[in-house]
Amino acid sequence: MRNIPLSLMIFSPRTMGEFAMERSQMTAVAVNAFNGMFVMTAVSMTMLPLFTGLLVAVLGILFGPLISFIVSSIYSRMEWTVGKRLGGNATLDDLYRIFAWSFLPLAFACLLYGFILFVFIKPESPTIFVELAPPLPVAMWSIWSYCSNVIAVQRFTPIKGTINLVLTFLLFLVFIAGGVGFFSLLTNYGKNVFFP
Amino acid sequence: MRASTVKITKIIVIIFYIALFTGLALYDEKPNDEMVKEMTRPLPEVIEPDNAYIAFIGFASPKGITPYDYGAEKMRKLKDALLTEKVTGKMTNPFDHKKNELSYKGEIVSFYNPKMTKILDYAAKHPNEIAHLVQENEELLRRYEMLYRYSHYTEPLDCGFFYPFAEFNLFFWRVQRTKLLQLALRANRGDVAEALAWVRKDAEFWRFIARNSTTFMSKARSFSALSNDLLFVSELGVYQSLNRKEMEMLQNILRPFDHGEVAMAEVLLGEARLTQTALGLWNPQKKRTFELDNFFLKQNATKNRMYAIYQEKIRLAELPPQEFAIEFRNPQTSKYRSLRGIGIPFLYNPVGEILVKIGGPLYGMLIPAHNMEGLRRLAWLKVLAGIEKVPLEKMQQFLDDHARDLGNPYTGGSMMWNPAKGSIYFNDLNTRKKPVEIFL
Repeated sequence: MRNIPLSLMIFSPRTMGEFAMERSQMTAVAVNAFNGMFVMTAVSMTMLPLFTGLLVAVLGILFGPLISFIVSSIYSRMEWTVGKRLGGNATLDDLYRIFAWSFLPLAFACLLYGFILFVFIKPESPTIFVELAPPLPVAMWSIWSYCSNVIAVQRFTPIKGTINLVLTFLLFLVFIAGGVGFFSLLTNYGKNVFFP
Repeated sequence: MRASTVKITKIIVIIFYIALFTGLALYDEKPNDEMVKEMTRPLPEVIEPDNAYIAFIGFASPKGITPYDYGAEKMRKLKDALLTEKVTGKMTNPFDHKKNELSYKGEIVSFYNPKMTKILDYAAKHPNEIAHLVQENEELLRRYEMLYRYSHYTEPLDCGFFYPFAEFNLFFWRVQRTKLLQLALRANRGDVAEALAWVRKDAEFWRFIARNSTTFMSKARSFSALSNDLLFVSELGVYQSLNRKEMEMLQNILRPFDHGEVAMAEVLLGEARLTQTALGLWNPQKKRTFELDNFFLKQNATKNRMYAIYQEKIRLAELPPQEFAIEFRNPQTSKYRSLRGIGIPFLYNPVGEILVKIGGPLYGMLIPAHNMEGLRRLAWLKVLAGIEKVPLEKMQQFLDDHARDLGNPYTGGSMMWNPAKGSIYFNDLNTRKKPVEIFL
């Protein structure tokens, strides 16, 4: 494994992609778990006036990794399926690693944002814009890093890669909508159908 | 790392989460022993001959049926509804016989407010309107006075959502106020002793209801009626010359409330029982454990939390008014706040924790009890100021002199004088409400 300077990783998505490929799958799983933990903690922190600190921590530690595993597994598989149909070369394992490592900076930024929001409980509008200064560019960078690494590992042209990414995203939205609808039907009618 | 290791790890993680969710879905707390003892304590029978509550809910009975008989019939129908209603959480109203019930006839003027501070003056100017109102509502007035003979007051706390709030709150205040207007007429004609005697009987009755109330609605109703009595008797004390016997009656009416009359502990326990009964009706224990509702709303955990909050409220309610005011103004330091933060139980009882968070008694519901004592003191101050003929420019000094015995219940300081409005007052702890005041 090469020691890659952090600065190179920050400014070069391709380097980030190489770094991800050189790390084991187990490491990618762990990174995904941390991503989920950070994001879940950040979301739960906005509920701190309602929730105790202990609950926020437990929600982050217990459910963050679970949600992250589910989202990353589904999304990676969708990415792989759509990519394969378009003639891509990436394996499911490659896409999973790229997903995990690309969004690690974003997870850190979310956690930071959560802390800032907690400190400024009722921020003024200008404060909100200032608070968004760190996380927004990081979010954009993460997405760019993910997209460019997916295109690279699939060996797509830019246009084909963009189509691949957009299709995957739309498919994911449809999947979410379908899942919500199914759950809604289950809670409204499932009681009588399955447990008469 | 080998693929088999990754696979094994994934399987372990999946098994862990399945076990976790299964455990969270099925787990419920053990019910608190004290809560169970209190919530399952046998209640006195409601439909018994001397229960004023039955007469309350049957107050508007059609002609030919006594309020008690009508109220007893309503309670029996309610009990049948509770027994036969299917477990769907649907609320129905078993009181579906509004036809032929009596109603209040006419429009009664609103008084004891900034627009009308005295009713003796109004009675002097509108004797015919008052006589007409009395005549039109003679039957209701007769029924109202018949309530005084009841010696028990027991509310049906096992009704849950079916508790007949609307029925109870019908139009007592209009009937009482009609009677007060009639007494104002008689007082103007010199019959002060009879007016005071009636107000004393009425005040004793509402003190009795307040003492035995076990719901907020009932307590609030009794406070409202008592307020009218205090305001009327203070007006009589100022504007009528009272002999020794009449003064004794006045002193008796304005005597301090004893602990039971303004205490809230029994009310809070009653409300806890009503709420928990409602939970039981909504989501009874008999449901099979694999229904979706039971995964997110755990009966014992919810009841335990709710009971703890009510117990904390009882502690707050039993504080002297000044200590209560300190806690009310600074809820950050109150133990109450920590009880209301949603903690680990959210994992296995998410709906229950939210219900407890948004439901439950508010701080503000405890304030009227202390305000009643404050109003009593204001009424006494008004009478004393009238007897001593205190000039308005010396009113604040007079109030300061009485700070120790008739001062602001929340601060221990004196009541305040508002020369622009001509009222003496103290500020309500709930800053969104107007001050509690009495007009001189």
